[in-house]
Amino acid sequence: MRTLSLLLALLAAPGVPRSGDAVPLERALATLSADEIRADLYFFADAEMGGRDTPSKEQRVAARFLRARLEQMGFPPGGRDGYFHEYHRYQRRIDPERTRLRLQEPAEPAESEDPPLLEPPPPRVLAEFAYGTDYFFPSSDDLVALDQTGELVWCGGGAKADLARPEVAGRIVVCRATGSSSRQRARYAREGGARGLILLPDLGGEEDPAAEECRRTTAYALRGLLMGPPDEDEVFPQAFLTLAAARRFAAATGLGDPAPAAGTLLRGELADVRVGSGPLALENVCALWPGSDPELAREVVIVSAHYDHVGWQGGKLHPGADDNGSGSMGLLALAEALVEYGPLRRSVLLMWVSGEEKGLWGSAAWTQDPTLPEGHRAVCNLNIDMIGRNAPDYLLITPTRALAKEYNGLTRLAEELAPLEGFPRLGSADEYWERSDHMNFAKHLGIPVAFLFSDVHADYHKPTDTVEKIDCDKIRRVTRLVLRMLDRLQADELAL
Amino acid sequence: MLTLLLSLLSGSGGDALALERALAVVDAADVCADVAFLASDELEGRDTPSQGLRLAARYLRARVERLGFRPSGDQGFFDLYPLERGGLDPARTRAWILADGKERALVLGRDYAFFGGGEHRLEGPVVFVGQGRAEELAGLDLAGKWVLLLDGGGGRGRGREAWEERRQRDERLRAAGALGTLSASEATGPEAEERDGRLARMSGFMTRGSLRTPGRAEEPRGPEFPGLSLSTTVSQELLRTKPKPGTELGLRLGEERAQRPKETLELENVAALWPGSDPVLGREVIVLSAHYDHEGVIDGEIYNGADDNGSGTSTLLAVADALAQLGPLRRSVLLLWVSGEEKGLLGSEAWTRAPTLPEGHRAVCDINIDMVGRNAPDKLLITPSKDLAEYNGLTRLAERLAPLEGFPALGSADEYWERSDHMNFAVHLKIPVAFLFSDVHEDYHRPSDDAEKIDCDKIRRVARLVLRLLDGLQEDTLAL
Repeated sequence: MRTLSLLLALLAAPGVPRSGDAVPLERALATLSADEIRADLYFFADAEMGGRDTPSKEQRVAARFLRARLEQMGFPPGGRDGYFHEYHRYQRRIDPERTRLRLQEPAEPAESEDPPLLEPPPPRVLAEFAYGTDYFFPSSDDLVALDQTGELVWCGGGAKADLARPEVAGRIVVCRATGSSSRQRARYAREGGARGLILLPDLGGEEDPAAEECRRTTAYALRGLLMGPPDEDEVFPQAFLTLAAARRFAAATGLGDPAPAAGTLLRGELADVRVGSGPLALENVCALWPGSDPELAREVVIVSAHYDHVGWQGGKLHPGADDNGSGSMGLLALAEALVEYGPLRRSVLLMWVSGEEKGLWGSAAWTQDPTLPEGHRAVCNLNIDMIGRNAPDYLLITPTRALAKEYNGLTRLAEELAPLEGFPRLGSADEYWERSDHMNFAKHLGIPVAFLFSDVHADYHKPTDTVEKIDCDKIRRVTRLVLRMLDRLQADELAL
Repeated sequence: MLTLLLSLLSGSGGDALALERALAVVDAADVCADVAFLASDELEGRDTPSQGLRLAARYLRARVERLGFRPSGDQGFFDLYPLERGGLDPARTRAWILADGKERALVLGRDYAFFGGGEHRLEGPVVFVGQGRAEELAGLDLAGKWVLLLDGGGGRGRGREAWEERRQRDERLRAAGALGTLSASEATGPEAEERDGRLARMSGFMTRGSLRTPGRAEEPRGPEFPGLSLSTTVSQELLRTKPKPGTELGLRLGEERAQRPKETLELENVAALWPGSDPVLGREVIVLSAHYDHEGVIDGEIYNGADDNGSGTSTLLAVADALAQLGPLRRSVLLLWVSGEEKGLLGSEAWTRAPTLPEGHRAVCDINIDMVGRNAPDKLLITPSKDLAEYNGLTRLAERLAPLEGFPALGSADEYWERSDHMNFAVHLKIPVAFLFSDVHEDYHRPSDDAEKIDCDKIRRVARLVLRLLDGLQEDTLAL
């Protein structure tokens, strides 16, 4: 019985050519079902999926959903170690809820040598300052993870001699942000052994340079910057207070007017807590459908779709059913159709990339670190993004003829085959030429690319990009079109 | 050729062939893929209620919707039911020690913990009474005071006798007007660590909140007599002066607790119907149930619940794949994934009190599957076994068919007869039930119940056994 079951399983297994079947394409096309695409999309764009932001737990759930579906259809992995291509970014970001400057009473010296039996009460807070309203960071180098507490020393205008005083060592320097250049001041303070620098505007004046800066720089600090990790030895935290905050700070620390002599210790200790920055591990999902031809199988046709979206913005969930639930589920349906089709002569790599909405991160990472097997190379890329809305017969492509330099055989093929799937003629998406992941394949791998897209709409990047508005039959037909293209990309020589 | 061979082997007609084809669909790698998804860290242990649980429900929905199952909940595939959440409000629960005019806060879970409910604010002096024996208590004025006892005072151990002894002691203390008891420990080393760990778990349990079916009467209990357990550190602090039993310590202890406002939550069971082909028998529904919830995240650790009950959840999915291949049986089959099992079989209770079946349909039996992916490949237990009065045709059929799937003899799971969801089918619907289970193990209800430890081939064979059971439950008259 076991042998029999095995035999049956083998017959049902993917990748085994079915002898005597003349039309694998027709059979594979027929397996595509709008209802099945809809069932997948209802999962993928559900509110519980939180809009699949990069990075987010829900995006990782989405990747694992794709993996489970691929495993169950018997579609082999195409990452380096399984289905996931992991890549890394260091994110410099500020979480405004938890990032604070807190001036507090110094901890009481312990009464005895014994460790305290009861936890001491938390230190009394003298004043607290919130990032983005009370202070900002003068440099992107300040966007780091930090939790340090130190005593405060006043250093007036921050002259070199003052910053060389013995009181500076091991303390956080407070000084006016006037006088010597900011870069020099920071350098002298570091050389003096300071742990950080708090900059104040002129307390007697009207000028409030930090207030405007707060507004300007907060936006990018909240959004996050990808700049690579900071060099631990180079981190020298600074913060610049607004005029109002500086006056509160002066009152709480006992910094009088006129200011005391440089080297005077101020009251309290300052906790500088910065939360939000750190390394990110992100995932693309890759699945390789090996070709049957011993030579041509080393040539890999890549079909890509980004599976991330923008998550929560302005307190609202952006489900991204069209952008790009539609392309992601189209790619999944394509996988099923390929299993039905059996191997093509060339290999096909299906790739769901993340970080597209953040700036095409996932495709940039993969194209600079491709996970193809030894001896294989990518020959072209077909990218699909937003294919589930607008009129049923409306589909755009780029590059068109108008982009003479980029126009290629993929577009010609799509133009030829599209009418078979209810798209009488393909419109131009040339104005989106630089806007989705195909760009990275062109730029980093120098291969012909094409981008199928059915245009933006009123719900584009809105909380209203929801699943019930999606035309799943349109996704089905775009997927059929892609399959027809793959079927035609099997000639001995690819003339793209 | 193949057809002929199969017919010869099974010795029967087309139905046997169809069954063989459906059995062959069940695939261990497919099972592993489902288990890996359900037990991934990202689903955070599928606590009831949680986002991970809701994601699991939506995954199940996507799986069965694609296979063409009919939705059989009150909202598509989801059977929505309410639960009431109560429990301790950690934000308004605290304790403190007043000594030398200074107040020091005690941290719940680190410095002290307790079981029990109620709302109060108590403060008073502390009297040390040693073990709290009758002679140690004689003649003491305990009114308005806390009674400080050494651990185990008034009866050690967890047995019924010790418990009764403690209850009587508490009654005497309460009658004497005491505020409550404080249990201190003189333990050191690993014993102290063990005890302090217990405190953390106690408070974790108390602050997580409790779930129950709305409208169900709360368990009757007398007025609360507070009993606080103190950490070994706080115990040392209080006993530093080595007081004699009967001595009042020179400090006051306060304790305040409050319950959070009651909140009604909506939970989901997932119900998918495979309609029967027979116009009459199609109204008889065989229920296959498995709970899909687990314990969630406790103290920062994810309890993935790959076996409990990712395994049973995936078994039902494998059966769904096979049924899609098999086509309709004469009777209908309901796949029912219930939540709230780990909180007290709450999902199956809700469903069996208000079954979501189409008009004119009724459940005729339930086969429940919980934890079938661990232990020896040939080990599978069932309840009710012959030893229980409830022994029925389901068990008999399973006993007959199990050897075909590599389970030579089914063991007894009778000691789990009351422990999983089948109970609610027996109690509320009064239908025959059976429970398939392959026993607990070292990872049971631990963060280490992980997907990579699951024997997916075993789950595959359990799913095949269930399919054979369904196939065997198609005669004109069910004799269960």
